[in-house]
Amino acid sequence: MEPLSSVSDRSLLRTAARSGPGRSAVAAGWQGYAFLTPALFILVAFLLIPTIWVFGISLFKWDFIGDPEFLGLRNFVRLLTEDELFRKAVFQTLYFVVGTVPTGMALSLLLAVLLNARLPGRGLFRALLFSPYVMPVIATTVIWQWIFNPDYGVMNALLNAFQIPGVGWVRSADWIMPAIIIYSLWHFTGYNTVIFLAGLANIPPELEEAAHVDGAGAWSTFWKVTWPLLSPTTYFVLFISMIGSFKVFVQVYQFTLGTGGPDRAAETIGFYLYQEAFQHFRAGYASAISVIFFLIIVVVTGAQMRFASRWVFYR
Amino acid sequence: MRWQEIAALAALLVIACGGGSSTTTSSAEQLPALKNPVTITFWHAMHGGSQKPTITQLADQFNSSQSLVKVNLVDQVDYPTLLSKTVASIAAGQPPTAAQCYTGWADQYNKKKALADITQFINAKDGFSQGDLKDFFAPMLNDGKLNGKQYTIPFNKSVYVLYYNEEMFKEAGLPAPPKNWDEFVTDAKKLATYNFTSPQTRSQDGKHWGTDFSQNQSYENLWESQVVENGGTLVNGDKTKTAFNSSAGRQSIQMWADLVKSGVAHRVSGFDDEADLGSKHIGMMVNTIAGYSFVKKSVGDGFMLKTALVPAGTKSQGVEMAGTNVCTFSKATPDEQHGAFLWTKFLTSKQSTELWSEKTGYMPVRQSAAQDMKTTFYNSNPDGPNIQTAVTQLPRAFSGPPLAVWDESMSDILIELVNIVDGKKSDSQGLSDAAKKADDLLANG
Repeated sequence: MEPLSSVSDRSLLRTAARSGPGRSAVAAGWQGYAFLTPALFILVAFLLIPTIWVFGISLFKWDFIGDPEFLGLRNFVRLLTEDELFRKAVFQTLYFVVGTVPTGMALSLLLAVLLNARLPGRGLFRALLFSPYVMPVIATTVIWQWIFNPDYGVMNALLNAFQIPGVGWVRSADWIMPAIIIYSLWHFTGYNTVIFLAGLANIPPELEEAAHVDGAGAWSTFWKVTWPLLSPTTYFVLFISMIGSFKVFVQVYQFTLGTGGPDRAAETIGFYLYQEAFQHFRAGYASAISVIFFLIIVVVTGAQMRFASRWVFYR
Repeated sequence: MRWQEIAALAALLVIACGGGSSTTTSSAEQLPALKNPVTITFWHAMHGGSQKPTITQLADQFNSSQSLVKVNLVDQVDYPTLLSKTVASIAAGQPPTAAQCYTGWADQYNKKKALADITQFINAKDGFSQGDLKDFFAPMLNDGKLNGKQYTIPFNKSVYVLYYNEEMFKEAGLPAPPKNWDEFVTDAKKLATYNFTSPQTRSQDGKHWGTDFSQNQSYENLWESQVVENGGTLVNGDKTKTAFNSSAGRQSIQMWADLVKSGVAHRVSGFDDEADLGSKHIGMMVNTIAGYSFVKKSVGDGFMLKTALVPAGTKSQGVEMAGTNVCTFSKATPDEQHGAFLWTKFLTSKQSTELWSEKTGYMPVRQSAAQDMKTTFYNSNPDGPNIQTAVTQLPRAFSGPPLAVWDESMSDILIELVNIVDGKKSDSQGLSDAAKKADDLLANG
């Protein structure tokens, strides 16, 4: 999953495509399949078949226990034309994605560039920055709920110290989503930073040195040399951040104590899907949400892949 | 997240296809006492405070007192988890022998024929005597009925009470807790504006309010009680349509909206109300007696914690009963069902319900236990009088609509109540939106 390997995978694939399968490769084919079987079994049993099932269930009304009742496309019609809460969930998911992905990427890139410099204590900073990512979301959200407590929390105390009036955070329909976004940035910025650091390490220093010799300053070296060479990494980070942000769930559940928040202002598609399936036991309707959610992600990632060739530069 | 959900859905579907059917026996003759030893599982959500140690103690007592039935407790941590796991287990054809259940849940299970018919065990040789049945508090036993038939037995029942800081009341010159909601409002204003000075009454940061309104299902239940107290009803007679968007409904929530708007009530979320009372940030709150051990822990030695009856409305005084009953599932063999009944019988016996009540604050389910506790607990234990308050108002307790969809309606209603309290919607707009959603659920499920 690491970006560097995806770059080398590509070159490997190119090499493989040029040479084509040899006689020994064909002979060894059955062994390859034999080694693949356990993984394939897991993928088919727990991913492929359930996915097909979900498409099937989405056409039914079913509460897990009784007999499913065939509805045709009625779940989808209701979802797309009548369900205001679903529309709200889609909007709020986009709000979360827009709030976390560009900011998170900019922040982690900035941190990566700073940590790439030869500074004393760099290793410690890297470890500190990565530590939120290795802590369980379920545990850190509890601490952050206290940080965001409007009366006694650190966040409002900090704002007050700068003469800024505090806000309602988790108790306010307007502020609960920003609170979840801030928490999420804290949680995954370290991970993206590490990926960016790996990308930066892969850029040959002689290119930057050459730019320097030619008289380019730090700013133009970054934009003319580093940024284009970093684009496969940036693409990878964008790709996984987008998907990760679209499926946000645990922090929503925790920050809203399982309610969706005041006026359901933090209700996202993933959370709505969970509520319909496992709180209200509408398996058919939840599956229809799943299908639409799947399509949204397909369209978004498809668009990313389509436009990637315009700005992603493979050396 | 998504694919795990899908896998779970599909796994449930696959397993559900292999589900079996009910194996209950029914006979007009009296069932003999259980002869064959059985092992049963009991799923519960009695996880916090003193609840888990006490239920474990009861199970140990039961297991060591006889050799026919061995009960294994399975802690499902909280009610939402218990519900989703029970539904999944029914779908998988492997439910526990028995579990805690709300009446609405029981209605849902029963519609799928997943509940055992316990009448035969109630009437069995080792069942309940007429005296036993009369000994249960009638409102509780009735809460366990579906369409007039006893499907479940009351276990951990609670009602709302008014919790208050007696020292704050005294210092602010309030001689007694409020008797009705008008007094509640007046007292809350007094508590909010009074300048407290003693260590028992002053919060660490000096901030304080009269009371709390929390985005927590308890406050929706309280509003339901207020609607009835103010002369309204929640659903119509045949339970097909809501009736809460009435003057009683609006008046009940507008009271809270006014208190929050004027800064008299603190608008919080979750269980922050317990923390607020414990830290002297509020002088009183209405909450369930089931939370007694939690509130007590929050208060510590900070001040004298007292309880009183929930304030009366314009028409009556009364509270909605909360808490669960014991459901037995039809998938178990008749002997296992019988064993589960004997465990339930033990759990709800005079001695057990007394111990349970004294340790957790839940009400005893038997009148004889409550009578006994007058001499052994209510008058001698420091927490006794506080816990007795719940039993005192039990004769005026009522049950919420016993409908499978009501659970979901309640969370929709809570969202709109919070919108009204936060000033995002008017009382009529909020309740009309809540009614629209609930009516849709009542009509379509």
